[in-house]
Amino acid sequence: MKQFLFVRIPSICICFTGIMISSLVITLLSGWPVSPFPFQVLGWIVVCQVIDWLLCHFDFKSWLQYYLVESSILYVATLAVALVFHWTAATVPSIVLFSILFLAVDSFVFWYFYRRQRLLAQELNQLLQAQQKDSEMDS
Amino acid sequence: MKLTIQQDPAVPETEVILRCPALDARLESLIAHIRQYSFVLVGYQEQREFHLPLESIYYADSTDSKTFLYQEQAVYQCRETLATLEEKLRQTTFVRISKNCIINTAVLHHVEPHFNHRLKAVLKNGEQLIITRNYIDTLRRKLKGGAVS
Repeated sequence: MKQFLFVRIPSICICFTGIMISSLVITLLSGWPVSPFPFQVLGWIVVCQVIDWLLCHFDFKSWLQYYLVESSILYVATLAVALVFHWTAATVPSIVLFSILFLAVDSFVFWYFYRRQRLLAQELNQLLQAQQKDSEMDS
Repeated sequence: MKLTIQQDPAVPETEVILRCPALDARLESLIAHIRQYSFVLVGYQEQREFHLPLESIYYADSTDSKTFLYQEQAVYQCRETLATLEEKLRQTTFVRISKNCIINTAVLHHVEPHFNHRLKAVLKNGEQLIITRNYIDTLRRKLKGGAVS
């Protein structure tokens, strides 16, 4: 699980992003028409990172509170951007589908980073316990 | 491990000699604990000077260019900078966990996940400190008994 969270997922994401961006740039340089959608999404993801960074200056009481507050802000903002850039139509079925996709991706990202932090904390706690056992045996 | 204690009133200063075939992580940790006991830091409270045994200090932090030493319940100001303290305490159980805080790992009770790639350090007296992402590896190396560069 540790390798999956710390190595495989980041590797897949980095490789996929790199390949997609390279492909888009090559297509652009070749003079072929390129949909602006990937660049818009990339730009919006960068903005989401800034929103996340700003929110981390607040002291949330729990991960759930952090998840609910950030997800709500990102959902409203992303829906607005999606409508402006026509990523989704302004119809009920489209918005419902968009919302389900958003919830799935958002929840997965939160779960991923929470699991990573938990594994890190577990590793450090194991080292702490070993250190404390050594101290008790030495004293 | 064989433990030999030689008590002699004629000895001017306590000396600890560790004889081992090889220095491992467990011994490094023991040495860090022993070094702590030879250290004393000077703290101030309202112009009064106190000599604080290192093992009694939970953490040191820096606010508004001033350094403070925190015991379980008392706080003292220290005239040294955090960087100087960090260098002085490099071979002890103290380690930096953020830009403004160095902590005594001997009083670290456990660690919890926190937001934004940080961890929360919970001390034995219940106090909580933030471990920023840049220093998580440093803490891990210190707990493993390795050198912190």
